[in-house]
Amino acid sequence: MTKDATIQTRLFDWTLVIVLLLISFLCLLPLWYTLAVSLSEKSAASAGQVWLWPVGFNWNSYKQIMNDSSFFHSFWISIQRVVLGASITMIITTMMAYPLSRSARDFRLRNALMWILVFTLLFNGGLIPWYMTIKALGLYNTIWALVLGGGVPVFNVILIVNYFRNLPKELDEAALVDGAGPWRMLFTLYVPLAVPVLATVTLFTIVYHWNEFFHGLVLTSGEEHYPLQTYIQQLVVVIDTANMTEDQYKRLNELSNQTLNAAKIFIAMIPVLLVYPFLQRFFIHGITLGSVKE
Amino acid sequence: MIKKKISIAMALMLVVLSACSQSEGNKVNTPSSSTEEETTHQTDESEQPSDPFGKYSETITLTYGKAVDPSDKSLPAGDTPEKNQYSRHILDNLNVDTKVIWQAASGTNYDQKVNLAISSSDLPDALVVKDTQLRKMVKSGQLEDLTDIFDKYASPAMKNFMAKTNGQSDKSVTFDGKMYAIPSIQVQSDGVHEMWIRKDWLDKLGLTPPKTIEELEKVAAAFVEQDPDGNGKKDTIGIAGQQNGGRLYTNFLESTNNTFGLDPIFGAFKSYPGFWLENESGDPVYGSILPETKEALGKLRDLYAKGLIDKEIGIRKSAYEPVTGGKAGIFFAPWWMGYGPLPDAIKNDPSANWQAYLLPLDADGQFNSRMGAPSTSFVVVRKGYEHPEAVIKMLNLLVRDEAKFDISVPVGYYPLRVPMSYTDESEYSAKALKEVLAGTKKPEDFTDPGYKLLAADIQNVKKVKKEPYDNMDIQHWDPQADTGTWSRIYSLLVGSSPLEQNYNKVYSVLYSQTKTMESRWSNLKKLEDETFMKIIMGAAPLDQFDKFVSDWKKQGGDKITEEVKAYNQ
Repeated sequence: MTKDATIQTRLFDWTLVIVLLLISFLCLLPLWYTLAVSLSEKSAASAGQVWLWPVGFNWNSYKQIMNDSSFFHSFWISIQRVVLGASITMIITTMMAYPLSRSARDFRLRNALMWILVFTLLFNGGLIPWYMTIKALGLYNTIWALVLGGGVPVFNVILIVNYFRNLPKELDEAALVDGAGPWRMLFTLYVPLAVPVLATVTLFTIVYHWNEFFHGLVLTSGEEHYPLQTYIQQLVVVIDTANMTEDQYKRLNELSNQTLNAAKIFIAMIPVLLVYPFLQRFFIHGITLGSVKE
Repeated sequence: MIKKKISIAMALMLVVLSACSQSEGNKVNTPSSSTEEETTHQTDESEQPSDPFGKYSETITLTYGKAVDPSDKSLPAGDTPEKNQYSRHILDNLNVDTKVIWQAASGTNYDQKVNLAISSSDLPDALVVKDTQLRKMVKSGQLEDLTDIFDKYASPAMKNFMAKTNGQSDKSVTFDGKMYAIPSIQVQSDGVHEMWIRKDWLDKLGLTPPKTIEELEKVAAAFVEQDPDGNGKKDTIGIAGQQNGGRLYTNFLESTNNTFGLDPIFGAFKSYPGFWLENESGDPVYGSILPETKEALGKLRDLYAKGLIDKEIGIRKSAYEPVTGGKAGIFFAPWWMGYGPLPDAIKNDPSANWQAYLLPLDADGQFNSRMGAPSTSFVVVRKGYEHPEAVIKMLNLLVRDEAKFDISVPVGYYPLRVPMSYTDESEYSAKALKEVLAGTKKPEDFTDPGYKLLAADIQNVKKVKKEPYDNMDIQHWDPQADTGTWSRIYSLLVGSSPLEQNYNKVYSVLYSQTKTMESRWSNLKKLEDETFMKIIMGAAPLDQFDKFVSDWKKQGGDKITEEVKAYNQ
């Protein structure tokens, strides 16, 4: 807001503020609702009586989670996955993006490689070949299946390539004159200059690895290998009553335990909520900064 | 330049294609190598007599995929879904070492894993599958023929269970005269949908359980308008409906346990949409396209317009909500509601007196119920597994010992467990409990171990049922004493007792898919579901039904009807 604002612009500003407040309220509402359900009485939650304030406030769900070893086991797997996955992806994508950001005169295979990359972006073999490949490589049931499979997100590579290409060519030449080789050029010149885009891509990767659940289900043999989101997904997935049998009715009540599941979902959200503020300042400049340079 | 790019793309395709054919080759190899093993094993098998419970002299292994319940925490420390009291029981008695090759939460996740295993031909030795999966596996030749082995090794008790289904179970696993799976045998009460009604509301408003559609309409109107919950607000629902993704009525593919559908209302019009019926000349017809169905839809449309059916039918996130929240007065569901949603409903309102009836009746005073398929899950054995009879022995053992197991650990942990019981188990148990309570029979009079939970039920019944024993109203129960026991006994005495009456049982001519259905059925079903919901909710005129019938026939329905006819001959 500028100082010499007229009434009109001020009105405009305030409207913006109100609209944005409403939008952020809409974003916060599901989080708040989940928290309220997790702190409520089980029967009240299943009767749909909980709205913005817990009904029959209690900590039982959280106490129960504290005793749930498989929840924390999966939590630990997810942390491993995020740390390994984010580091591997960042190293590979950066090293891939640098040569691809050179012109075809400097690097003759550039265009061919780029085509291969784009091809994989548009087409893939589907689930079954993917599963068979992972199995044949001996990655099934290991953390590597989740980390290496999909370790090169092509979209992210392209983002970084474009950022690199928009950095001034003059810097490049200056470094060359000073006797820097490709490695030195990448790590002392390009990487520090590209911190915004790298931070953005890191955030994408972390969020992806934290939230992805389907590979955890398909590429592992059971709960002791599940990352956290797979563990949660199996709890909240809608059960089909059509083929249920007697002992399944018995467990139906536990399965529809909304309060416990809400507590688990809430705890699972915390890490991403914590990472966001730290990377967010880069995120704001992130992608746009690269595109407006020059 | 463009040419170059295309050629690169094509080169890539070649790599992909050759990779595919490579794996194809592997697939062909595996069965041939295992057939050799099979022949060797058959020779040593003939030396031993075929004993249904025969113990192997050397430990053999069997790998399988397991559906688990993620919320279950009953396993003692150190035990796993793979190694527990049940797997040890099998190892001790049969010398079969069972290994879980993968596990997933029962339901969608387990199905996904099974589909993945089928498509990639990466199969464990044995699996529990659904009907569609069984058909796919038979078609791609992945399964061992169990005809002779079952004949030789199945225990008399197991054959007895099969016999009670009048050949329906055999039929579901026999393809070209060969038996490819062992079917589950489920209680028939799972397919009968009853009317559950708030009797305390009826009493308060001076009404009786509605016997006909007209009375149903009157009672529902009273529930909506006369404030039965006494909170001074007009916020009650007459008839609750299915949730988002739920079904309006069961169908021949998913023929049991449709909670909150409206099946009995259709039944009162002698209409059975979703089922294959026989017309006067004995030819199969699809129930959804018959005039009775139009009549039933017209009535439902009328009830909905008057606000007597839940306005949010088919949209609600959970159909349980209005019931546990004390807002609904009538819903339709099978016998086991004591397991859920009723425990939460009485926790919120201890006076919620839900009772079950075989109502409403049709114009001739008869209750018409569609019946479920007796078998919905199937145990299959991978083609080439060396000891297919081990699977049958494991199931023999399950049937023999199920009543004796310590069920503080659910019996679902038994490897390859599928339900096996007499189809009349719940009605029979309800009747037996009533006779014991009335003192006309003694616990010792019930000795058939096939009714496996009955002995425990008789022992527990007085824990939760208070006197007078012949009055089933909620104030004569003690749910707090033991919720688990209450769930079962209430389900039996309130939910299953009505099934002792005579009622008209309507079976579908077919409980599985024909060839054209594989490609067409999902679209036809979508057309049906959407049209019917639109008609009920008033978004389309009732005469839209006639257009639906002709569309259905044109879009493959006629061809499918022919196939069903051929299938039945």
